Amino acid sequence: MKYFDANCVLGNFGMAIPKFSFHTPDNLIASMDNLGIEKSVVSLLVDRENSFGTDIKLKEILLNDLADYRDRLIPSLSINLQSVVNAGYNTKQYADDLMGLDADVFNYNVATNNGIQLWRFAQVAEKLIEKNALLRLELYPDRGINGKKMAFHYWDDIFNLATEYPELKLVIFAHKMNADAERAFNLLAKCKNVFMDISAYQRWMAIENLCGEFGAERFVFGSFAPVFSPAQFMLELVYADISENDKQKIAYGNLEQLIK
Amino acid sequence: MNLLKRALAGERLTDIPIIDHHGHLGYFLSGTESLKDESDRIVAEMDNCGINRGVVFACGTEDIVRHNDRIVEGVSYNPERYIMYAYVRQGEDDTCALKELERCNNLGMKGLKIHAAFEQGNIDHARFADIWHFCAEKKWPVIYHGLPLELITQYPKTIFVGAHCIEKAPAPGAVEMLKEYPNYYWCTSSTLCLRNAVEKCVRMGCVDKLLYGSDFPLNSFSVRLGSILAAEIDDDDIKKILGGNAIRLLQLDKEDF
Repeated sequence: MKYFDANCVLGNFGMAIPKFSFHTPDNLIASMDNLGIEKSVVSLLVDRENSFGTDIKLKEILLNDLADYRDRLIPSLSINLQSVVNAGYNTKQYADDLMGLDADVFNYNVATNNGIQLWRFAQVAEKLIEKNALLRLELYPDRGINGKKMAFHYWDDIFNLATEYPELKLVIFAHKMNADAERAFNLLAKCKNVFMDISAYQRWMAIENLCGEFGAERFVFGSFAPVFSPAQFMLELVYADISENDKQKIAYGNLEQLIK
Repeated sequence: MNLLKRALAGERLTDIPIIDHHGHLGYFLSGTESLKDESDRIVAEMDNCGINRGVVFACGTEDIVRHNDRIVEGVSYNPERYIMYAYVRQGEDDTCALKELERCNNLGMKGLKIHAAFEQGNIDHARFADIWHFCAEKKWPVIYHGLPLELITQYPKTIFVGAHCIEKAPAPGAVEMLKEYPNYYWCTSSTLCLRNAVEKCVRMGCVDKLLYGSDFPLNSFSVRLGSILAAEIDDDDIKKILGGNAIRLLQLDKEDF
Protein backbone atom coordinates (compact mmCIF):
# COMPACT_ATOMS: atom_id res chain seq x y z
CA MET A 1 0.00 0.00 0.00
CA LYS A 2 1.25 3.50 -0.83
CA TYR A 3 1.21 6.12 1.92
CA PHE A 4 1.10 9.90 1.77
CA ASP A 5 1.40 11.36 5.28
CA ALA A 6 -0.63 14.54 5.53
CA ASN A 7 0.96 15.80 8.72
CA CYS A 8 4.68 15.79 9.51
CA VAL A 9 6.86 18.41 11.14
CA LEU A 10 10.49 19.41 11.12
CA GLY A 11 12.41 21.12 13.87
CA ASN A 12 12.31 21.37 17.64
CA PHE A 13 9.19 21.55 19.68
CA GLY A 14 8.93 24.51 21.99
CA MET A 15 7.16 22.31 24.52
CA ALA A 16 8.90 20.33 27.26
CA ILE A 17 8.79 16.98 25.55
CA PRO A 18 11.74 14.90 24.35
CA LYS A 19 13.60 15.99 21.33
CA PHE A 20 12.97 14.02 18.21
CA SER A 21 15.32 13.00 15.52
CA PHE A 22 13.57 14.40 12.45
CA HIS A 23 15.50 17.61 12.55
CA THR A 24 16.55 17.36 8.97
CA PRO A 25 14.75 16.34 5.80
CA ASP A 26 17.20 13.43 5.51
CA ASN A 27 16.11 12.09 8.91
CA LEU A 28 12.51 12.33 7.86
CA ILE A 29 13.13 10.62 4.53
CA ALA A 30 15.01 7.80 6.30
CA SER A 31 12.11 7.29 8.67
CA MET A 32 9.60 7.34 5.81
CA ASP A 33 11.67 4.78 3.91
CA ASN A 34 11.78 2.56 6.98
CA LEU A 35 7.98 2.49 7.13
CA GLY A 36 7.32 2.59 3.40
CA ILE A 37 5.83 6.10 3.28
CA GLU A 38 6.22 7.62 -0.15
CA LYS A 39 5.39 11.28 0.47
CA SER A 40 4.74 13.60 3.40
CA VAL A 41 3.33 17.05 3.91
CA VAL A 42 5.79 18.91 6.13
CA SER A 43 5.50 22.04 8.21
CA LEU A 44 8.06 23.76 10.38
CA LEU A 45 7.33 23.43 14.09
CA VAL A 46 8.59 26.85 15.02
CA ASP A 47 6.45 28.34 12.26
CA ARG A 48 3.37 26.53 13.57
CA GLU A 49 3.92 27.36 17.20
CA ASN A 50 5.14 30.93 17.04
CA SER A 51 5.49 33.72 14.64
CA PHE A 52 7.30 36.99 14.54
CA GLY A 53 5.81 39.78 12.57
CA THR A 54 4.89 38.55 9.12
CA ASP A 55 7.09 35.44 9.63
CA ILE A 56 7.61 35.04 5.88
CA LYS A 57 11.26 34.33 6.62
CA LEU A 58 10.34 31.10 8.43
CA LYS A 59 8.43 29.89 5.41
CA GLU A 60 11.37 30.66 3.16
CA ILE A 61 13.59 28.61 5.47
CA LEU A 62 11.29 25.61 5.13
CA LEU A 63 11.04 26.00 1.37
CA ASN A 64 14.79 26.26 1.14
CA ASP A 65 15.32 23.20 3.37
CA LEU A 66 12.93 21.15 1.25
CA ALA A 67 14.12 22.42 -2.12
CA ASP A 68 15.96 19.22 -2.98
CA TYR A 69 13.22 16.93 -1.68
CA ARG A 70 10.10 18.33 -3.27
CA ASP A 71 9.28 15.06 -5.02
CA ARG A 72 8.66 13.50 -1.58
CA LEU A 73 8.35 16.28 1.00
CA ILE A 74 5.56 18.75 0.31
CA PRO A 75 5.90 22.00 2.25
CA SER A 76 2.98 23.30 4.26
CA LEU A 77 3.25 26.93 5.30
CA SER A 78 1.69 28.19 8.51
CA ILE A 79 -0.76 31.06 8.41
CA ASN A 80 -0.32 33.01 11.62
CA LEU A 81 -2.91 35.73 11.39
CA GLN A 82 -3.08 36.37 15.11
CA SER A 83 0.52 37.47 15.37
CA VAL A 84 0.36 39.36 12.09
CA VAL A 85 -2.49 41.43 13.41
CA ASN A 86 -0.80 41.80 16.79
CA ALA A 87 2.30 43.08 15.06
CA GLY A 88 0.23 45.64 13.17
CA TYR A 89 0.79 44.24 9.70
CA ASN A 90 -1.70 44.49 6.89
CA THR A 91 -3.46 41.15 6.38
CA LYS A 92 -3.91 41.78 2.66
CA GLN A 93 -0.19 42.30 2.23
CA TYR A 94 0.42 39.19 4.35
CA ALA A 95 -1.95 37.15 2.17
CA ASP A 96 -0.20 38.40 -0.97
CA ASP A 97 3.25 37.63 0.41
CA LEU A 98 2.19 34.19 1.61
CA MET A 99 0.51 33.15 -1.60
CA GLY A 100 3.46 34.39 -3.60
CA LEU A 101 5.57 31.62 -2.09
CA ASP A 102 6.07 28.34 -3.89
CA ALA A 103 3.65 26.12 -1.96
CA ASP A 104 0.26 24.51 -2.51
CA VAL A 105 -0.45 23.49 1.07
CA PHE A 106 -1.00 25.81 4.03
CA ASN A 107 -1.87 25.22 7.64
CA TYR A 108 -3.76 27.31 10.13
CA ASN A 109 -3.82 26.45 13.81
CA VAL A 110 -7.32 27.23 14.96
CA ALA A 111 -6.32 26.79 18.60
CA THR A 112 -3.27 29.04 18.73
CA ASN A 113 -4.92 31.65 16.51
CA ASN A 114 -7.90 31.68 18.86
CA GLY A 115 -10.37 30.60 16.22
CA ILE A 116 -11.11 31.84 12.72
CA GLN A 117 -12.39 35.37 12.40
CA LEU A 118 -13.86 35.50 8.90
CA TRP A 119 -13.41 39.25 8.53
CA ARG A 120 -9.72 38.71 9.14
CA PHE A 121 -9.41 35.47 7.21
CA ALA A 122 -11.30 36.55 4.09
CA GLN A 123 -8.36 37.80 2.10
CA VAL A 124 -6.33 34.67 2.83
CA ALA A 125 -9.29 32.40 1.99
CA GLU A 126 -9.85 34.09 -1.35
CA LYS A 127 -6.18 33.78 -2.24
CA LEU A 128 -6.17 30.10 -1.25
CA ILE A 129 -9.10 29.43 -3.58
CA GLU A 130 -7.46 31.39 -6.35
CA LYS A 131 -4.36 29.26 -5.93
CA ASN A 132 -6.39 26.04 -5.60
CA ALA A 133 -4.39 25.41 -2.43
CA LEU A 134 -5.20 23.00 0.38
CA LEU A 135 -5.74 24.40 3.87
CA ARG A 136 -4.95 22.17 6.87
CA LEU A 137 -6.80 23.24 9.98
CA GLU A 138 -5.06 22.21 13.19
CA LEU A 139 -6.85 22.04 16.51
CA TYR A 140 -3.95 21.42 18.85
CA PRO A 141 -2.33 21.95 21.24
CA ASP A 142 -5.49 22.71 23.09
CA ARG A 143 -7.33 21.42 26.10
CA GLY A 144 -9.01 19.00 23.72
CA ILE A 145 -5.76 17.11 23.37
CA ASN A 146 -6.47 14.84 26.34
CA GLY A 147 -9.97 13.95 25.33
CA LYS A 148 -11.67 16.98 26.83
CA LYS A 149 -13.84 19.17 24.69
CA MET A 150 -12.19 21.87 22.64
CA ALA A 151 -13.34 25.47 22.61
CA PHE A 152 -16.90 25.45 21.35
CA HIS A 153 -16.42 28.27 18.88
CA TYR A 154 -13.64 26.45 16.98
CA TRP A 155 -16.16 24.16 15.37
CA ASP A 156 -18.55 26.98 14.62
CA ASP A 157 -15.66 28.93 13.11
CA ILE A 158 -14.70 26.04 10.84
CA PHE A 159 -18.32 25.57 9.82
CA ASN A 160 -18.59 29.27 8.98
CA LEU A 161 -15.38 29.16 6.95
CA ALA A 162 -16.40 26.00 5.09
CA THR A 163 -19.84 27.33 4.22
CA GLU A 164 -18.68 30.84 3.34
CA TYR A 165 -16.02 29.39 1.01
CA PRO A 166 -17.34 26.07 -0.34
CA GLU A 167 -14.56 25.96 -2.93
CA LEU A 168 -11.91 26.01 -0.21
CA LYS A 169 -10.52 22.53 0.51
CA LEU A 170 -10.13 22.00 4.26
CA VAL A 171 -8.54 19.10 6.13
CA ILE A 172 -8.97 18.91 9.89
CA PHE A 173 -6.14 17.71 12.12
CA ALA A 174 -7.08 17.26 15.76
CA HIS A 175 -5.38 14.48 17.65
CA LYS A 176 -7.81 12.73 19.93
CA MET A 177 -10.80 14.94 19.38
CA ASN A 178 -12.91 12.05 20.64
CA ALA A 179 -14.87 14.27 22.99
CA ASP A 180 -15.70 16.56 20.09
CA ALA A 181 -16.58 13.79 17.68
CA GLU A 182 -20.22 14.75 17.38
CA ARG A 183 -19.35 18.30 16.34
CA ALA A 184 -16.76 17.05 13.88
CA PHE A 185 -19.21 14.56 12.37
CA ASN A 186 -21.82 17.27 12.07
CA LEU A 187 -19.32 19.35 10.16
CA LEU A 188 -18.42 16.45 7.86
CA ALA A 189 -22.08 15.80 7.18
CA LYS A 190 -22.87 19.39 6.30
CA CYS A 191 -19.72 20.55 4.51
CA LYS A 192 -18.51 18.47 1.58
CA ASN A 193 -15.33 20.54 1.31
CA VAL A 194 -14.21 19.37 4.77
CA PHE A 195 -11.93 16.33 5.09
CA MET A 196 -10.36 14.75 8.16
CA ASP A 197 -7.11 13.13 9.20
CA ILE A 198 -7.75 9.59 10.52
CA SER A 199 -5.61 10.17 13.61
CA ALA A 200 -8.21 12.70 14.79
CA TYR A 201 -10.69 10.05 15.88
CA GLN A 202 -9.22 7.09 17.71
CA ARG A 203 -12.27 5.25 18.92
CA TRP A 204 -13.25 1.61 18.51
CA MET A 205 -13.61 0.61 14.83
CA ALA A 206 -13.10 4.26 13.97
CA ILE A 207 -12.14 3.83 10.33
CA GLU A 208 -14.94 1.37 9.62
CA ASN A 209 -17.49 3.66 11.24
CA LEU A 210 -16.21 6.84 9.60
CA CYS A 211 -16.10 5.29 6.15
CA GLY A 212 -19.54 3.78 6.66
CA GLU A 213 -20.99 7.13 7.63
CA PHE A 214 -19.20 9.56 5.33
CA GLY A 215 -17.31 7.50 2.72
CA ALA A 216 -13.58 6.84 2.49
CA GLU A 217 -13.13 9.85 0.21
CA ARG A 218 -13.42 12.21 3.17
CA PHE A 219 -10.37 10.95 5.09
CA VAL A 220 -6.62 11.18 4.77
CA PHE A 221 -3.76 9.46 6.55
CA GLY A 222 -1.85 11.79 8.86
CA SER A 223 0.41 11.12 11.82
CA PHE A 224 1.97 14.28 13.27
CA ALA A 225 5.33 12.52 12.96
CA PRO A 226 7.74 12.60 14.63
CA VAL A 227 5.74 13.45 17.75
CA PHE A 228 3.75 10.29 17.13
CA SER A 229 4.83 7.30 15.12
CA PRO A 230 2.98 7.00 11.81
CA ALA A 231 3.04 3.22 12.27
CA GLN A 232 0.17 3.20 14.75
CA PHE A 233 -2.20 4.87 12.29
CA MET A 234 -0.84 2.80 9.41
CA LEU A 235 -1.63 -0.38 11.32
CA GLU A 236 -5.10 0.91 12.14
CA LEU A 237 -5.68 1.32 8.42
CA VAL A 238 -4.10 -2.01 7.46
CA TYR A 239 -6.26 -3.93 9.96
CA ALA A 240 -9.45 -1.96 9.22
CA ASP A 241 -12.36 -3.93 7.82
CA ILE A 242 -12.87 -1.84 4.69
CA SER A 243 -12.05 -2.55 1.05
CA GLU A 244 -8.46 -2.39 -0.17
CA ASN A 245 -9.55 0.30 -2.58
CA ASP A 246 -10.86 2.46 0.26
CA LYS A 247 -7.69 1.86 2.28
CA GLN A 248 -5.60 3.04 -0.62
CA LYS A 249 -7.74 6.16 -1.02
CA ILE A 250 -7.17 7.07 2.63
CA ALA A 251 -3.51 6.11 2.65
CA TYR A 252 -2.59 8.04 -0.46
CA GLY A 253 -5.15 8.79 -3.12
CA ASN A 254 -7.39 11.30 -1.37
CA LEU A 255 -4.54 13.58 -0.33
CA GLU A 256 -2.98 13.37 -3.76
CA GLN A 257 -6.29 14.47 -5.27
CA LEU A 258 -6.65 17.32 -2.78
CA ILE A 259 -3.20 18.67 -3.46
CA LYS A 260 -3.63 18.46 -7.22
CA MET B 1 11.17 -9.36 8.59
CA ASN B 2 10.54 -7.70 11.94
CA LEU B 3 7.21 -7.71 13.74
CA LEU B 4 6.21 -4.21 12.61
CA LYS B 5 6.89 -4.91 8.96
CA ARG B 6 4.98 -8.18 9.14
CA ALA B 7 2.00 -6.39 10.70
CA LEU B 8 2.08 -3.53 8.20
CA ALA B 9 2.12 -6.10 5.43
CA GLY B 10 -1.25 -7.22 6.77
CA GLU B 11 -0.13 -10.25 8.73
CA ARG B 12 -1.73 -11.00 12.10
CA LEU B 13 1.01 -11.87 14.59
CA THR B 14 -0.58 -15.13 15.71
CA ASP B 15 2.76 -16.76 16.45
CA ILE B 16 3.34 -14.54 19.49
CA PRO B 17 1.14 -14.21 22.58
CA ILE B 18 -0.63 -10.84 22.68
CA ILE B 19 -2.59 -9.99 25.80
CA ASP B 20 -4.45 -6.69 26.01
CA HIS B 21 -4.28 -5.68 29.64
CA HIS B 22 -6.99 -2.99 29.63
CA GLY B 23 -10.55 -3.54 28.50
CA HIS B 24 -14.17 -3.30 29.51
CA LEU B 25 -17.26 -5.40 29.04
CA GLY B 26 -20.88 -4.71 29.71
CA TYR B 27 -21.15 -1.07 28.73
CA PHE B 28 -21.96 -1.74 25.08
CA LEU B 29 -19.23 0.59 23.92
CA SER B 30 -18.74 -1.58 20.86
CA GLY B 31 -22.19 -0.62 19.59
CA THR B 32 -23.81 -3.96 20.39
CA GLU B 33 -26.97 -4.43 22.43
CA SER B 34 -26.44 -7.56 24.48
CA LEU B 35 -23.64 -8.93 26.59
CA LYS B 36 -23.23 -11.94 24.35
CA ASP B 37 -23.06 -9.78 21.23
CA GLU B 38 -20.52 -7.49 22.85
CA SER B 39 -18.39 -10.38 24.05
CA ASP B 40 -18.50 -11.96 20.57
CA ARG B 41 -17.92 -8.65 18.80
CA ILE B 42 -14.79 -7.94 20.82
CA VAL B 43 -13.47 -11.46 20.24
CA ALA B 44 -14.05 -11.05 16.50
CA GLU B 45 -11.97 -7.88 16.57
CA MET B 46 -9.33 -9.63 18.71
CA ASP B 47 -9.12 -12.23 15.95
CA ASN B 48 -8.88 -9.49 13.34
CA CYS B 49 -5.94 -7.93 15.18
CA GLY B 50 -4.22 -11.12 16.36
CA ILE B 51 -4.96 -10.56 20.05
CA ASN B 52 -5.06 -13.74 22.14
CA ARG B 53 -6.73 -12.53 25.30
CA GLY B 54 -8.11 -9.40 26.88
CA VAL B 55 -8.22 -8.37 30.52
CA VAL B 56 -11.68 -6.96 31.30
CA PHE B 57 -13.17 -5.16 34.25
CA ALA B 58 -16.06 -2.93 35.23
CA CYS B 59 -15.45 0.74 35.80
CA GLY B 60 -17.12 3.71 37.42
CA THR B 61 -20.35 2.04 38.33
CA GLU B 62 -22.11 2.33 41.69
CA ASP B 63 -23.50 -1.18 41.68
CA ILE B 64 -20.27 -3.12 41.78
CA VAL B 65 -21.80 -6.53 42.46
CA ARG B 66 -24.10 -6.29 39.46
CA HIS B 67 -21.33 -5.08 37.19
CA ASN B 68 -18.82 -7.67 38.35
CA ASP B 69 -21.51 -10.23 37.56
CA ARG B 70 -21.89 -8.72 34.12
CA ILE B 71 -18.17 -9.24 33.58
CA VAL B 72 -18.60 -12.89 34.57
CA GLU B 73 -21.53 -13.31 32.21
CA GLY B 74 -19.82 -11.54 29.31
CA VAL B 75 -16.69 -13.63 29.74
CA SER B 76 -18.74 -16.84 29.99
CA TYR B 77 -19.54 -16.58 26.27
CA ASN B 78 -15.83 -16.69 25.36
CA PRO B 79 -14.05 -17.86 28.51
CA GLU B 80 -10.83 -18.80 26.77
CA ARG B 81 -10.38 -15.26 25.43
CA TYR B 82 -10.83 -13.10 28.50
CA ILE B 83 -9.19 -12.61 31.90
CA MET B 84 -11.47 -11.09 34.53
CA TYR B 85 -10.51 -8.44 37.06
CA ALA B 86 -12.77 -7.36 39.90
CA TYR B 87 -13.85 -3.78 40.43
CA VAL B 88 -14.62 -2.28 43.82
CA ARG B 89 -15.22 1.19 45.17
CA GLN B 90 -14.72 2.69 48.55
CA GLY B 91 -18.01 2.92 50.45
CA GLU B 92 -19.06 3.68 53.96
CA ASP B 93 -18.31 0.13 54.98
CA ASP B 94 -15.16 -1.21 53.34
CA THR B 95 -15.82 -4.76 54.54
CA CYS B 96 -18.30 -4.90 51.64
CA ALA B 97 -15.46 -4.32 49.18
CA LEU B 98 -13.40 -7.08 50.76
CA LYS B 99 -16.36 -9.45 50.70
CA GLU B 100 -16.89 -8.61 47.05
CA LEU B 101 -13.25 -9.37 46.31
CA GLU B 102 -13.59 -12.76 48.00
CA ARG B 103 -16.71 -13.43 45.94
CA CYS B 104 -14.90 -12.36 42.76
CA ASN B 105 -11.99 -14.62 43.64
CA ASN B 106 -14.39 -17.53 43.82
CA LEU B 107 -15.78 -16.50 40.44
CA GLY B 108 -12.32 -16.84 38.90
CA MET B 109 -11.15 -13.25 38.78
CA LYS B 110 -7.42 -12.60 38.66
CA GLY B 111 -6.89 -8.96 39.56
CA LEU B 112 -8.46 -5.72 40.70
CA LYS B 113 -9.29 -2.39 39.04
CA ILE B 114 -9.38 0.86 41.01
CA HIS B 115 -10.33 4.18 39.44
CA ALA B 116 -9.52 7.24 41.55
CA ALA B 117 -11.46 9.65 39.34
CA PHE B 118 -14.73 7.98 40.25
CA GLU B 119 -13.93 8.51 43.94
CA GLN B 120 -13.24 12.19 43.30
CA GLY B 121 -9.59 11.30 43.93
CA ASN B 122 -10.32 10.75 47.61
CA ILE B 123 -9.55 7.10 48.14
CA ASP B 124 -8.44 6.50 51.71
CA HIS B 125 -5.69 3.99 51.07
CA ALA B 126 -5.24 3.14 54.74
CA ARG B 127 -8.89 2.10 54.93
CA PHE B 128 -8.26 -0.18 51.97
CA ALA B 129 -5.26 -1.87 53.63
CA ASP B 130 -7.05 -5.21 53.77
CA ILE B 131 -7.79 -4.92 50.07
CA TRP B 132 -4.12 -4.36 49.21
CA HIS B 133 -3.10 -7.26 51.46
CA PHE B 134 -5.72 -9.47 49.85
CA CYS B 135 -4.34 -8.68 46.40
CA ALA B 136 -0.79 -9.34 47.58
CA GLU B 137 -1.78 -12.69 49.04
CA LYS B 138 -3.65 -13.76 45.91
CA LYS B 139 -0.94 -12.29 43.66
CA TRP B 140 -3.58 -10.13 42.00
CA PRO B 141 -2.27 -7.14 40.07
CA VAL B 142 -4.10 -3.93 40.94
CA ILE B 143 -4.64 -1.84 37.84
CA TYR B 144 -5.06 1.64 39.21
CA HIS B 145 -6.18 4.71 37.25
CA GLY B 146 -4.62 7.66 39.08
CA LEU B 147 -2.10 5.69 41.09
CA PRO B 148 -0.35 7.65 43.89
CA LEU B 149 3.28 6.70 44.47
CA GLU B 150 2.97 6.38 48.24
CA LEU B 151 0.71 3.40 47.76
CA ILE B 152 3.47 1.58 45.92
CA THR B 153 5.96 2.20 48.70
CA GLN B 154 3.56 1.45 51.55
CA TYR B 155 2.44 -1.90 50.13
CA PRO B 156 5.54 -3.33 48.49
CA LYS B 157 4.09 -6.84 48.23
CA THR B 158 1.14 -5.68 46.16
CA ILE B 159 1.64 -5.30 42.42
CA PHE B 160 0.29 -1.96 41.18
CA VAL B 161 -0.18 -1.30 37.48
CA GLY B 162 -0.58 2.34 36.54
CA ALA B 163 -3.29 2.64 33.88
CA HIS B 164 -2.75 4.90 30.84
CA CYS B 165 0.80 5.52 31.99
CA ILE B 166 3.01 5.46 28.92
CA GLU B 167 2.29 9.16 28.53
CA LYS B 168 4.34 9.68 31.67
CA ALA B 169 7.53 8.41 30.07
CA PRO B 170 8.65 11.82 28.79
CA ALA B 171 8.24 13.42 32.23
CA PRO B 172 11.48 13.83 34.22
CA GLY B 173 11.93 11.07 36.80
CA ALA B 174 8.88 9.04 35.80
CA VAL B 175 10.71 6.10 34.25
CA GLU B 176 13.24 6.14 37.11
CA MET B 177 10.35 5.49 39.51
CA LEU B 178 9.05 2.70 37.33
CA LYS B 179 12.47 1.12 37.48
CA GLU B 180 12.98 1.64 41.20
CA TYR B 181 9.89 -0.15 42.52
CA PRO B 182 9.61 -3.85 41.70
CA ASN B 183 5.86 -3.80 42.41
CA TYR B 184 5.18 -0.94 39.98
CA TYR B 185 4.12 -1.54 36.36
CA TRP B 186 2.71 0.60 33.57
CA CYS B 187 -0.08 -0.29 31.20
CA THR B 188 0.28 1.28 27.75
CA SER B 189 -3.44 2.02 27.42
CA SER B 190 -2.53 5.60 26.74
CA THR B 191 -4.67 8.37 25.43
CA LEU B 192 -1.63 9.45 23.44
CA CYS B 193 1.52 7.44 22.88
CA LEU B 194 4.38 9.74 22.06
CA ARG B 195 7.06 8.40 19.81
CA ASN B 196 10.11 7.34 21.80
CA ALA B 197 8.14 6.80 25.03
CA VAL B 198 8.36 3.00 24.83
CA GLU B 199 11.97 3.19 23.70
CA LYS B 200 12.84 5.34 26.69
CA CYS B 201 11.35 2.84 29.13
CA VAL B 202 13.16 -0.05 27.51
CA ARG B 203 16.45 1.82 27.27
CA MET B 204 16.25 2.55 30.99
CA GLY B 205 15.78 -1.10 31.90
CA CYS B 206 12.00 -1.21 32.32
CA VAL B 207 11.06 -3.60 29.53
CA ASP B 208 9.70 -6.10 32.07
CA LYS B 209 7.43 -3.46 33.59
CA LEU B 210 5.29 -2.59 30.56
CA LEU B 211 1.98 -4.21 29.66
CA TYR B 212 0.23 -3.64 26.35
CA GLY B 213 -3.31 -2.31 26.76
CA SER B 214 -5.76 -0.48 24.54
CA ASP B 215 -8.79 0.41 26.67
CA PHE B 216 -11.02 -1.65 24.36
CA PRO B 217 -13.77 -1.31 23.24
CA LEU B 218 -13.48 2.38 23.85
CA ASN B 219 -10.36 2.47 21.68
CA SER B 220 -9.24 0.17 18.92
CA PHE B 221 -6.76 -2.64 19.45
CA SER B 222 -4.76 -1.75 16.38
CA VAL B 223 -3.67 1.82 17.11
CA ARG B 224 -2.17 0.90 20.48
CA LEU B 225 -0.71 -2.28 19.05
CA GLY B 226 0.92 -0.19 16.36
CA SER B 227 2.44 2.15 18.92
CA ILE B 228 4.22 -0.78 20.60
CA LEU B 229 5.27 -2.42 17.33
CA ALA B 230 6.62 0.92 16.10
CA ALA B 231 9.04 1.21 19.02
CA GLU B 232 12.62 1.02 17.85
CA ILE B 233 13.56 -1.85 20.16
CA ASP B 234 14.32 -5.56 19.72
CA ASP B 235 11.43 -7.78 18.72
CA ASP B 236 12.09 -9.85 21.85
CA ASP B 237 11.38 -6.77 23.95
CA ILE B 238 8.23 -6.06 21.96
CA LYS B 239 7.09 -9.62 22.63
CA LYS B 240 7.52 -9.06 26.37
CA ILE B 241 5.41 -5.92 26.30
CA LEU B 242 2.71 -7.42 24.11
CA GLY B 243 2.26 -10.58 26.14
CA GLY B 244 5.27 -12.05 27.88
CA ASN B 245 5.10 -9.74 30.88
CA ALA B 246 1.37 -10.34 31.33
CA ILE B 247 1.86 -14.10 31.17
CA ARG B 248 4.45 -13.83 33.93
CA LEU B 249 2.46 -11.40 36.06
CA LEU B 250 -0.78 -13.37 35.81
CA GLN B 251 0.98 -16.71 36.10
CA LEU B 252 -0.60 -17.97 32.91
CA ASP B 253 0.49 -21.18 31.26
CA LYS B 254 2.74 -20.40 28.29
CA GLU B 255 1.56 -23.62 26.68
CA ASP B 256 -1.90 -22.08 26.30
CA PHE B 257 -0.59 -19.62 23.73
